[in-house]
Amino acid sequence: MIIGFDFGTTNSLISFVMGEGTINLFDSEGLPFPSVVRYEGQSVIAGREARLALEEVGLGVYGNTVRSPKVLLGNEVVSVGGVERSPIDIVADVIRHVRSESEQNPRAKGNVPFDRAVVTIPVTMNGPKRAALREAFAQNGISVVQFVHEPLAALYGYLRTAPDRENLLRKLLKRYVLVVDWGGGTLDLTLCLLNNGSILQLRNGGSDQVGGDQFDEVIRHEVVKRFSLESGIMATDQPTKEARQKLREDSEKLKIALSQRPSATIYRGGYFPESGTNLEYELTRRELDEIIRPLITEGVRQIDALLDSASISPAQVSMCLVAGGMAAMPSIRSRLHELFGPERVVIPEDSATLIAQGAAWMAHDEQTLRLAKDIELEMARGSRLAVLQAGTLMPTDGEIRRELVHLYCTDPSDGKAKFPIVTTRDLKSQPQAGDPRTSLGLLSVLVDKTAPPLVERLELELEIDDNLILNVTAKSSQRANTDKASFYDLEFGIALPGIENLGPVSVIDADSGPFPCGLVVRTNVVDKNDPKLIPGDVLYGHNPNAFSRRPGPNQATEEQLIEHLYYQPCALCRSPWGDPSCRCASGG
Amino acid sequence: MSKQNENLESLPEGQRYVGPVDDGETLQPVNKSQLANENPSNVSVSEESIATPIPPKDSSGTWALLEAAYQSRGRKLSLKKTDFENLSISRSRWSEDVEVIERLTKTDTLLVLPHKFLAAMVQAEVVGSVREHLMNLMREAVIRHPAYRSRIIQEQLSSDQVTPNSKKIKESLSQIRTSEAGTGDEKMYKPIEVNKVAINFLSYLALDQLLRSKWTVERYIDEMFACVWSSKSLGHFATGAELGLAKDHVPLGLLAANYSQRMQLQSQELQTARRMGQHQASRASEAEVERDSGLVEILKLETDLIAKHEETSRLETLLALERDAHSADQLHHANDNELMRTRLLRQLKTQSELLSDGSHALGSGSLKTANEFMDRAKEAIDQEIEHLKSMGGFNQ
Repeated sequence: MIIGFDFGTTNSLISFVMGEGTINLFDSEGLPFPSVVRYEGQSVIAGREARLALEEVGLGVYGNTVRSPKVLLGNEVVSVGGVERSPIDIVADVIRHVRSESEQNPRAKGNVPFDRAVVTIPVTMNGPKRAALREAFAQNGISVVQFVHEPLAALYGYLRTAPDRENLLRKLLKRYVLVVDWGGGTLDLTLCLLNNGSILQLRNGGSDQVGGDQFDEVIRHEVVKRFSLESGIMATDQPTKEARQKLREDSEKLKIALSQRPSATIYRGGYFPESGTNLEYELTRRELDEIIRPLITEGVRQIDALLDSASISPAQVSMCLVAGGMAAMPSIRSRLHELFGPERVVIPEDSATLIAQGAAWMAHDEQTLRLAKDIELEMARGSRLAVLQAGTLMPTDGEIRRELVHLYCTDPSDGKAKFPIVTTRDLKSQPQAGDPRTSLGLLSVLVDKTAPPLVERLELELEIDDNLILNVTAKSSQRANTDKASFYDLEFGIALPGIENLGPVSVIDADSGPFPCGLVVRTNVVDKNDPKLIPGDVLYGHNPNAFSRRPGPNQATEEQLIEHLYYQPCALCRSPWGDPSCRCASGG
Repeated sequence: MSKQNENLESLPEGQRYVGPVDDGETLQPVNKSQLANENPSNVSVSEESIATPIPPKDSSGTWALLEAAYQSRGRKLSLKKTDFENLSISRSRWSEDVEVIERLTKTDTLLVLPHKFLAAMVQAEVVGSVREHLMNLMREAVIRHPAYRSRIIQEQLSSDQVTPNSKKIKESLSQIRTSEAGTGDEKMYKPIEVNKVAINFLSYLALDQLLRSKWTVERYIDEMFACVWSSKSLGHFATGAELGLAKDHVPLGLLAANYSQRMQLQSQELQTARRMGQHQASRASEAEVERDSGLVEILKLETDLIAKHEETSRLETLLALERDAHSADQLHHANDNELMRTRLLRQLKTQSELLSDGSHALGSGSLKTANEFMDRAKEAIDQEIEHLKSMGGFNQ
């Protein structure tokens, strides 16, 4: 058995599949474990106790407390309470707490091994952070079988347990699904396409400025401000830390109360210690909506931006699945209803735990991520080579997937061979030459500029490791030069629950969008030894006989002839090609 | 018969002989009265035979009898029972008897006498010690005969399990040098003589085996047929002619009677065997039916067993699934209980805090807030009650 581990920004939760359902291993209060750790001398306090002692909202280090330590991953060290600590160790402390507490859970004892896990990660977590997170899990004896993006896990979990799964999948076939994971710390968005037995990620987005804690903080701040103004509280009359902590909890309760009644009062006795004034303020739902509107608007703006980036209108989204604790908030629901229509917004009862459950189901179903789009090498004369094809299985724990491509340099005259790595922007079963591409990056190696074209051999090696990082290495044989690059922003798909076939992606109705403009690299590598691929000017330098216009197979093509002539000055006046002063032949 | 023997050499070996061979050419005419006067043992010969006078030399009469027999020169001996009854046999004179027989046998170049003498004894119904003594003397006669130099003949006589082979005997005899009695001139057997000696030896050997009860008469006939009597097949008519010309019908009759009896016996055995065969076939058929029936039963049992195994396996799988499902159900029930417990705990804690705050507000004179908090607490508790009721399947 492999567990699902949602190592969330705000909360963390382990879930596993037993029989036909999942079991979530909550803490003693029946809630997920807050992803918070506090250091007091030699003591490490993690989870709810550390969370309750924290007054501030937001992510990162607050005194001797770290909230959402995974956001620190990627840094070498951070200072916590004046002590330099490794973010990996901090993350490991939280994981250790979650694991040890979950192991003590009577539902887990004897039923669950905790040594292997499918771990969910935010869509924005890059490769080095994934590697660091894997190390933190390894410190606790947990082998990460696979990382999976949180929204993808949520969608898988929802589809896997949907009451009428077949009908639902049929209804969503070749349709877009937007997963909105609106939790306490972050808003994560993923646009997916359900196609031919697979879930494919199209676009990812989100924000860490509109999390549920931000809502509580805004409410608290606004209530205190309004009451202070109405009651004439002096600026010096500052509440204690404990009072502020309690008021933050009160704000959360107020938020919940206003989801059920038109108005509610927030009350904290002796909040202002100097004057001994009780904080007592009645807030209506309308006022609450006004207070939190900017946050909700920002969240919706993020959604719009994501859809815009994919050239998709809200009407094209067939289902908006809302996960995370904020899904229960009426204001958020109503805004999503306005955007997509009530019938297309799905808020499951277990939305707060859907990600962990999805990870558990993926572990149970032994699902493996697959590459969502072709990764291509752009070659000379506009051709492209799919070096990693869509549908390629991603490596799991300890595995590495390798591909090696042998290439030639068509034009070594500038002493460099260029390797542009691109991916299709949209999901298509057979990407066409004219389809827009997104550049992942460019590699360049030094080549022997004196060598004839198509002589120096080049190699392009691609490796995808279990942290889903694409490492690309380009090598030249003669100059023995190497260039390396790593790409983290890959997109993945996964088989739909209960469907084995992961066939090719079919045509979708997304707009292609404009071609990229500006300067482009003249790519000079090819995968076959064909003189017709050599630029005409370069070919002339090495084989002038190819331009003798004699019949034969080794003669330059028309394209090569033009390329050659373009770089030749006018035979009469020696003006360059296109010079208006030339009245002989090439000039205007 | 003598005519046939004359042609023996020119015909295939072992296929022409119809009886023991005589050396008729060496016989001298003897008067019947002469024989009767000179033979004190009253040895009588057949009408064709001419007795040779044998001077009496012993009181027992044995020598005289033997002398007379050897004097017959191979002609058919016609001895009577009384000729033997007067003999006085004594073990103490055995060596003298042997000396006599050694002398006499050298005169019988073609080994004619031993089997004829044995035949005559049988016809004279000689029994007991006399017959045994004379048979032993005949054996000595063979042993001391020049033909005994043949290794094969030695082996035949010394073996307990006699298996005559006429071809080998003849080959062996062709290498033997012999001489006429008293002449001292040794010579090789002529081919025709080899045949005669071989046939005479085989005739003696077969009769000796029969008389010593080592062979049955059937074995005697079969061995004689194989080694001596065999002849090439003639046509029906020729066979009839040959048989019709036979002067002595008695041996033919005996032979035919024996074969007829044996055929009858074999026919009976065949019928018995057939009956047995039919019986066995019937039993085999019954056994086959029983076996088929058993096989069907075994097949049925095996099918039943496989079905039962499958059923057991199915039930075990079902049981394992049920056990797993039960275990999962138990865990889910426990989990549901835990979820409900923690939800109630959180609810009670929240409402307790709310009431506590309401109480504080009441104490501070904020009656409105206190009332609201109490209302909110009551609403929450009522909702929880409704929720718990609905979990139990009650609407109210």
